[in-house]
This record gives sequence, structure tokens and C-alpha cells, in this order.
Amino acid sequence: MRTPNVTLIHETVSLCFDQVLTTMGEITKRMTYDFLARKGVGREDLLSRFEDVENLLVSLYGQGGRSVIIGTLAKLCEEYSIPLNLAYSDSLSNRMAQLTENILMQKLIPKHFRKDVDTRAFEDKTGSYAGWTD
Amino acid sequence: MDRAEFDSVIQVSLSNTLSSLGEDCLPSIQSLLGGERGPVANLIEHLGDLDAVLDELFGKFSKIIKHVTILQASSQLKLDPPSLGGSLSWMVEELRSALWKG
Repeated sequence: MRTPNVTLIHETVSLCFDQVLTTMGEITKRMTYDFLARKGVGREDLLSRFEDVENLLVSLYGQGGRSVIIGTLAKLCEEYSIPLNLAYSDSLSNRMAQLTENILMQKLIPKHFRKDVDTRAFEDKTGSYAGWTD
Repeated sequence: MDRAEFDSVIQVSLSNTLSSLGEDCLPSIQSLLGGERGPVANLIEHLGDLDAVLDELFGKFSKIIKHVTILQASSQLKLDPPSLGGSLSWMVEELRSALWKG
């Protein structure tokens, strides 16, 4: 059982990972998810098994696979408005652990969640669709 | 902020991103860009070539590498990132104009 904040981080990491894969195209994205699933890593496990995900992607794509992990970290930092500073850690999974600890300690909220809440509040108040949504 | 400071932020973001891919990645690209003249120190002067080199070396992954660089630079410059596309030099110019507009 995860607390709401932890659940939100897991969801945000999954969202960021998905956005990064999307830049590589739908086929690559589908293949990557299938590959990870065959290796026992589901979409909901990305954060808890971040190091495994990194190793699996490097085994699948070579060094380029690491860029997916770095991209996910960069998007996560963008969501929470915190600096990426990869040099602060000796490995990408350690940096992810530092970042998530930081996010939990400071009770930070990701941008996409804030936008969802603002949209719902606007629509509840006005009874009409928010103009900034699709 | 003057042009030199801006270029230095982009240079550091690029170096950090490329180094994080593997310790040989940055020196290899610097050598490749310099050719017979030897490794280049200033990547900003070769942004156009760097775009092509990243595309050639990393294929589909090059876009992610460019996006990470821009996200790092935007965070450093305290600017919203520009729309993320496939051209590093274009995104750097977008960032430059956003900074000057601000």
C-alpha cells in the first residue's frame, strides 16, 4: 500500500518515461514496454525497479538505452521544478533515489497534477470546460 | 546575462548530458567534431555539426539527448523550456530569444 504522495511520484515517473519513449515513435515504445514486461517489469514498477530498467534498456539498446533513463530523470525534474544535477550521484538510479527522497521530504507537487487540479476546480466552479484542455 | 554566460550554460548542459551517457562519449564527440585539428573544446561553435553527429551516432535516441540538454539549460537559466523538437541548434536559439525577450 502506497501513500498518496508516493503513488503520485510513481505515476509521474511512469508518465515521464512514457513521454520519453513517445519521442522515439510508437513501435519503439510498444517494443520497449513488451520487452520490460517479458523481463517482469510492469509499468507500475518503473520507479521501484529503476536500476533494473536501466540495465535492461542498456542490454536492449546499448549505451543509447541510458539516454531513456536520463531523459526520464530530466522530465521528472522538469515536472517538479528541481535541478537535475547528474553529477551529484555516482549512478542514475542513486540520483533517482535522491530526487524521490527530496520530493517526498519537501512535499513537492508535479506540474501535470497541479494543472489537473486547477482544471477540475475551474470546471466545477464555472460549470464549463476549461479552455486550456483538449 | 551576456552571450558568453549563456553559451557557457549551454556548454555545461551539453557536456553533462554527454558525459552521463558514458565517460568516453564526450571526448569521442569532441574528437569527431575537431577532425584532424584535434578535439574541440567549445561545442557551441559546432552546434549545427553536433546536431548531425548526434543523429548519426544515436539515431532515435539523439532527440532525447537534445531534450535533456535543453531541459537542463532551461532549469539553469530559470526559463520555461521551448517546445522540444529534433534540432538542438534551433532549440538553443529559441532559448536565447526567450532569455533576451524576458
